[in-house]
Amino acid sequence: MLNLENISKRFGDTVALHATSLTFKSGSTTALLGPSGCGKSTLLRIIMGLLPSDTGAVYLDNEKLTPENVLKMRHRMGYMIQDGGLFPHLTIRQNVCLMASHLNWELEKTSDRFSELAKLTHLPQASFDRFPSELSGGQRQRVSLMRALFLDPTIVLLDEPMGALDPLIRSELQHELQLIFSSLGKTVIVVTHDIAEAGFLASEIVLLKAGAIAQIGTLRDLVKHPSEPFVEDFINAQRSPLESLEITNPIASAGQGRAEQ
Amino acid sequence: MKRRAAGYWMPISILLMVLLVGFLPSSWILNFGKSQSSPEFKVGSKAFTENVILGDLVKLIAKSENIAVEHQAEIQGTQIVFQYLVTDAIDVYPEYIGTIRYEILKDRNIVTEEEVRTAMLERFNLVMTKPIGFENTYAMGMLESRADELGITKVSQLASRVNLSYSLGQEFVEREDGWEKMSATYGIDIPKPNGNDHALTYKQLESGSADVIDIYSTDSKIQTLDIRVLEDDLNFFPSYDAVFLYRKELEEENPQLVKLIKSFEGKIDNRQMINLNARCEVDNKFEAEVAQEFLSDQMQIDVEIETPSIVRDIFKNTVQHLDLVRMSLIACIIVAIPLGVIAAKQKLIGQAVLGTIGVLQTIPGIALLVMLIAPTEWFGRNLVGTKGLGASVIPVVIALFIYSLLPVVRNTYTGLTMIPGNLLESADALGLTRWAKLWRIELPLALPSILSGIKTAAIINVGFACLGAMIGAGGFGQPIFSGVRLSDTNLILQGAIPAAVLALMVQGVFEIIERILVPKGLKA
Repeated sequence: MLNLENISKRFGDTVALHATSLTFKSGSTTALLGPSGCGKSTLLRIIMGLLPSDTGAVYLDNEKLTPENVLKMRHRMGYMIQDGGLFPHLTIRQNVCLMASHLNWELEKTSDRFSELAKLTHLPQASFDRFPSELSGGQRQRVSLMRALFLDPTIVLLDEPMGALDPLIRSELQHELQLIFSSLGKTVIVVTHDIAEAGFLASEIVLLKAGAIAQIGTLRDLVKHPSEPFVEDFINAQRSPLESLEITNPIASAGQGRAEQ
Repeated sequence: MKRRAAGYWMPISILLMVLLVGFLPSSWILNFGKSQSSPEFKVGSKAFTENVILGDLVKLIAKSENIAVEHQAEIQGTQIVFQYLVTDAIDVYPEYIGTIRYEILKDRNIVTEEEVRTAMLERFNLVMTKPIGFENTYAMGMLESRADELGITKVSQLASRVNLSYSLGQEFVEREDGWEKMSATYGIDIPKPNGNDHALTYKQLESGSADVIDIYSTDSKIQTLDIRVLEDDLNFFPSYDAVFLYRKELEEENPQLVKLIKSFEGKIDNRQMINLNARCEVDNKFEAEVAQEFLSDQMQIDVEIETPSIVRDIFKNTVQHLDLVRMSLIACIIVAIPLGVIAAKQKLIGQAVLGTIGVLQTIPGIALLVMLIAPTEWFGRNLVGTKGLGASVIPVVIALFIYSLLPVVRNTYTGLTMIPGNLLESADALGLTRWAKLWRIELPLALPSILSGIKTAAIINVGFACLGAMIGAGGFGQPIFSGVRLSDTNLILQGAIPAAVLALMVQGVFEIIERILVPKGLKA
């Protein structure tokens, strides 16, 4: 279980995050949703201890995150970022097993863990000894996930994990992530600005607006019972392609008209 | 025991071992285990033929009495060779009384030979011998035939002959005690001539387009072109009698050697010195051969000398040059990479470090070398217990080291600061310690930049190491400087070609090293 108590953060005169308290239950998947600059990535960095908060504290399973224990705590958190953050000078296997060699694991144990994760993420064997630059964007994200999961962390944090992928790969990976998370039963926090992705992956959505929580609930709650006009606007701004068709588009209709003649 | 991945202390310690062994001078490595017999005494000489011959004379006469004396030849400039002598890095070298007065003592109240001798002993604890017998000063010269025709034997006779044409060397025209003072003293009332290249003035004299030129009074050309040296009848030119300067302590350390040095007092007159110079410059003999001939013919002393060989010379120069480059580069790598890391991590210290190294870069090579001699000699004597370190390769290595810091520190700094933020964040998020992050992520990512900095430093060092010859540390600069001095193109090429080839080879070797060391994932 992850608890945030009264976390806030300013950058100079700008408030990035107003005092915020949140609880993420063990085994739950939560999406931090919101437009750019709403503070969702800042929140994620504070949880990882990559950014110090101005006030408040982070508790992982009731243990407070401090500068002294932050390295050990990070071993219990897996982190995956938009473009994967893979190290270009290391092969896929070296990227995934980096912490094993840092923590001086036995080679056999390392190799077993790698195989296990490759199977879980369906990473083709041919890519194991390649370098990140030789892989596709989707495969790089699988590797990044393997690396995040390597030390079997309690919670997994994903920052726009599919932000840089094309729609087909994105959808394929979304399905796989959902399967993986439900099979592992880990606490997952995913940051995204895509409401469909948030609804698809997460059971609970935290919608942020300008550094403060606008609404917490399921996708259904947000759509059916928006707490304020912002929530409604945010949802309507990301209408589906099908909805777009229903709006009269003079150019599109004209083109259609000619085609029918 | 179960197998684990290798930690990083192993590769670091292996790397350090290789670097440290690589830092040792090749003579130490080659002579490892053998007892070393380095000559106890050293004679120095300045970078012109006459001085080198005198140095060889001391070396050979000592050899005839089985005293091992090393000759550190062709040291560029009075300041360096004198610095060597006062720091005891060398024991003796030939000098001129005029030079001692004007460049060392710089005291208008010290005029006579005896006053100079006393001042040198009191101020520097150096002994000045009696004159060797010849004088190397500025003089006015005319072709013997032309002088005869006009009946000129003295400089004072020039005043009444205003239609004579002059060709004067650049230095003589510009010197404070040169043309201007001389023409005023003798009342030669003609417009100030322009300064020419000294080699050109001889050509003009020979062709008849110039009647009078300035010459050095022991110049070999006096003999070969049959030049009359006009008598300085108003005693305008200061005395430049040649003498030996040696350390006072030498009288106790080896009285025999002092006796041999003094045996040259009054032994060589101007005509003989001109002849010795001509044997080198005109007959292309080596200084050592000429010195050997002199000892045999004039002093009935026979000594064996090593016959010079081009192949051995090139080999020797290559070893010396590589030593300079290798030692300075390795010292640079060991110091500059950590400095670059500190500079990248601590912005304030970083600016200070980069600024300081930039300033060091602007110190002219010769000035830096002079500054390094005394501290190096002191260090050698007091902390290592060896003599002569100041006149060894060490000051050159330190100077090269200082010059090569900039590219390596800067490229390490740039390489580290250019790493994308998302990669640094990923490394932090994994929970790596600062050291592990530096060693496993940052340094490997900066490696291409660091290696290219080292490559630049190495290539610069190959070129700069030619400076080593300025203070007698050998290397490819030696034949280049000698060749320039003797106008011997072959000799210049003997240094220039290997230096160029070495620069290309260094470039090639580093490209191979880059190919091996830079991970495949970082190559475009």
